[in-house]
Amino acid sequence: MEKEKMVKELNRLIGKESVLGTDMQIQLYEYDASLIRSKPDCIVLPTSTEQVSKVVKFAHDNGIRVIARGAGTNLSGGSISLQGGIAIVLTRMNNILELDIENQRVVVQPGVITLNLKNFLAKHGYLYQPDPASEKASTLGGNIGENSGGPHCLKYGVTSNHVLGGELVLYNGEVVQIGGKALDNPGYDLSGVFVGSEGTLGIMTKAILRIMPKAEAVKTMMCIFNSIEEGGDTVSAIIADGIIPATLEMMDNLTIKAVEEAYNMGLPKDAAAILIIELDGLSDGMERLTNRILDICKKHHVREIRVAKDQAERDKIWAGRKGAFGAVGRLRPNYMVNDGTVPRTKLPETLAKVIAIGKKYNLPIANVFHAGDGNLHPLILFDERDADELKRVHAAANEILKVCADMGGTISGEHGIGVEKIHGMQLICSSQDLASMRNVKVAFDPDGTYNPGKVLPELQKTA
Amino acid sequence: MKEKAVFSENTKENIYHCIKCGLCMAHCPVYKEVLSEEATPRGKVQLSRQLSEGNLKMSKEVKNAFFSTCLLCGACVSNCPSGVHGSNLYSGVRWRAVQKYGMDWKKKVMFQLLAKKWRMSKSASLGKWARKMFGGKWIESRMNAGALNVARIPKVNEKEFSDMVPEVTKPEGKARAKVLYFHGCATNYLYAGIGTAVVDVLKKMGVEVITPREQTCCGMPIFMSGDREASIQNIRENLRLFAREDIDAVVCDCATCSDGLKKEYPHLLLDLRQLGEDVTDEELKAAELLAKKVKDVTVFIDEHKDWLPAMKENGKKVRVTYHDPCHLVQGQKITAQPRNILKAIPGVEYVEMPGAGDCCGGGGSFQVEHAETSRKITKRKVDNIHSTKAQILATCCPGCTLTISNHLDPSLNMRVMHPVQLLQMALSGK
Ligand SMILES: Cc1cc2nc3c(=O)[nH]c(=O)nc-3n(C[C@H](O)[C@H](O)[C@H](O)COP(=O)(O)OP(=O)(O)OC[C@H]3O[C@@H](n4cnc5c(N)ncnc54)[C@H](O)[C@@H]3O)c2cc1C
Repeated sequence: MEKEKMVKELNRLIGKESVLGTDMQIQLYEYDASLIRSKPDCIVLPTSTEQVSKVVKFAHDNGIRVIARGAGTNLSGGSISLQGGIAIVLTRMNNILELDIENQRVVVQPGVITLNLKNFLAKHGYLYQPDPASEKASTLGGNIGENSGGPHCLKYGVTSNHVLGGELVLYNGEVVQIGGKALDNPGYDLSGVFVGSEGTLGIMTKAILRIMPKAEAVKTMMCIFNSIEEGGDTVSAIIADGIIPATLEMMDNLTIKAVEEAYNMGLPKDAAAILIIELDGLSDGMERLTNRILDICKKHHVREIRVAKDQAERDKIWAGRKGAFGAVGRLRPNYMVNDGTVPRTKLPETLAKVIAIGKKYNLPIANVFHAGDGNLHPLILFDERDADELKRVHAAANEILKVCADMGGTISGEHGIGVEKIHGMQLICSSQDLASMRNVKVAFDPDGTYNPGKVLPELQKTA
Repeated sequence: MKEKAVFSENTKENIYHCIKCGLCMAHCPVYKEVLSEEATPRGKVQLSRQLSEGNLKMSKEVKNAFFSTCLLCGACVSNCPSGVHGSNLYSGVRWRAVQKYGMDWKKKVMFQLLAKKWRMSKSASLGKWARKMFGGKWIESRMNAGALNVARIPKVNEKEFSDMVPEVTKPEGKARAKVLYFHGCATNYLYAGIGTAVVDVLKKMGVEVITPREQTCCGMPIFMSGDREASIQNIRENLRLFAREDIDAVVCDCATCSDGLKKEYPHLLLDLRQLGEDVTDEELKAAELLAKKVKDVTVFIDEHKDWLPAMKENGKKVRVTYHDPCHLVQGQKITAQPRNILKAIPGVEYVEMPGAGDCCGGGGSFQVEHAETSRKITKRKVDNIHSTKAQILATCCPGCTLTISNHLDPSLNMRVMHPVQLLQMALSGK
């Protein structure tokens, strides 16, 4: 359909103030936090499920592609309109609809910002556990789309462990309810299917989330090491000792330097690795557990341990960790982040290989990872204006994915497949595996209306 | 015709460090209300890139985006982990936009006046003009002051502050230091009480205060509105008067002024030189010198608090809360000093408000031109203030004072004061 006509129709359907279509506006929605760029034909900012449904129905009836978009912070090209069409931006559907303390549930619209929900719950003594480093900007809809993880997911599980159901707008504009407040619901677990579907199956317009009471006590420690192996070994040793801390995060030297420059937290710039270990739970026994961990750290030659004295110090440590990606942006203009995951015990070995790949392609690589989960985040640093460098980056990134797969791991721990990792799917899935996923896609979205070109490689060709 | 370069090379290179992570969204007061990408700092950095690479043409729409969805509060700059200096980009785009499309006439007249030395527009006439401009019948009928309630804009000073204060104020007791006092336009025209308090307190601390009579507007409102050429006149004039080796500090009572003097002057001069404007080495050096000397008055007082004479107690307690002006908290990372001063006053019961560091939504002319967005931001602020049940709001920026006092619940009779005004009262036992 002609763009002008599309805009006119949409204006009529949901009101002019919610439709954007000028060249400037379109340039504003051609990117997310990945390296991919591609323009939608127009953008809508609905404020209700009804509006979303109307737009999707209109698009489907006219063969127009549709993409859901939250804050556009994903790292795999998930919210890029590869084939034009309408970008449905959900940031204005940002109400917390219901707080059900007795049942420990909260019902939200998809545009609620993750951290805003947490701040709201904190007033009632509650917590929503998943904490992607981007939580102060990301939306819950986007978290659900990507099945996001974060430091605390080591103990509490990723987003899918906290989504119990919700409301979906299907490919033809029909609105359905999936799951519910109960832990198990009759019929298929469609929430399980939907979370992590990266906008390829439908749009969630309402989500029922699990919340938990705030832990009675929290202890945050920063353990500084002179070698990255010792840091890695400490992680394995802690888990082997039967302890599951709330977080086990690691930063390497390059990351430490960048974070220190951005946040001035007094980090030692010559340290090889920093582990951020947080414990939460009852105050009883917390000291004992802390000491066990400190002993393990000492056995692995920890150079220094800093324990946060209060919430302010804790916040500072986490601000540094959560700003790590951004801080790395100081070193070179661009980075490509991989989020391959390997079995925890393979972490040191994998890391050595990643470092070797960096050397081979002559590219600096900074490492920040959810060490407890074996989830790597090698950040390959470069300047996209240098074509040769860009080529090497892609080659190096592919090699890293392959290493993760060879180690018995997987190509994405939390950032999703999107476009950037679509060619890596075959490293993990057989063609039968992919075919069964395609069947799911077709069942939800028979005409390929939603987010074409993402996640499933074969579909990309036939779409 | 080829469009002029929007940015100098230095400024332009900085764009490429935006990795589009979007974390700036969490700190942008405008984004929180508008919730579209246009309002995000990330969006405007990306548009800046498109403009500078020639993929986007300057248009009225672009102009509007850079004016209507940005307060130039600097929150994105101070929170950008990658070190992208968005404000430099936005003000550059505003400059080119204004060169192409001109400025709103009302602003232009005001800025031309501010840009000239105040002397020339001599008190009464400017006072009358200002009232007519913002408060006159004709204006009220034809235009409005946006989110500002015209009736609640404070009266213009009877006499300009610069006419009330001697050029040199000798210290009481032992002379300990010598400072230059840069009082902003707001103190000069609207809040003479702040100026009197600053001079009085410093005097009592043993500080000689020189208040150059010929000082002019710091130039920031003009610069932020895109008229770099006009602001440069002010910058030159102020450098001549204030960039002096022989003084201990240049104290300011306005967050925006001090931020400008400290951070914008050196950058702007360098930028303009790289874009081919006529800027001398001496001017650059003078700007560096001034940047080193400039201090918010609360910082100066806090550094030398042992010079303060004893404060008298009179048994009365008043509940006070503090609002961080953007150009102090974001631009200069100053949060502790004004609070220290307040907490040290015996009669003050200090309460912290939620979101003390959040923008008040005023942004100078932003509240006049983009009233709806501004009003929403201010409402959050005012709700937070009232939640503390404080009787006095202290803040270090007359701009914030104007905006906030305009929106406070009138039935609560709250007062908005500069911390130094409270200090002055305590020193004199009131
Ligand atoms: C600095 C930084 C740090 C990060 N740290 C982490 C981290 O620690 N852990 C982690 O997992 N990720 C992390 N990310 C990635 C990213 O923030 C997450 O993927 C986040 O969940 C994306 O949310 P969003 O609102 O930006 O969604 P978007 O990027 O806009 O969208 C993401 C996907 O979800 C789909 N989608 C959006 N809304 C809906 C909806 N309502 N219904 C259906 N589909 C929808 C979109 O189509 C898209 O495919 C980080 C990113 C950055 C820039």
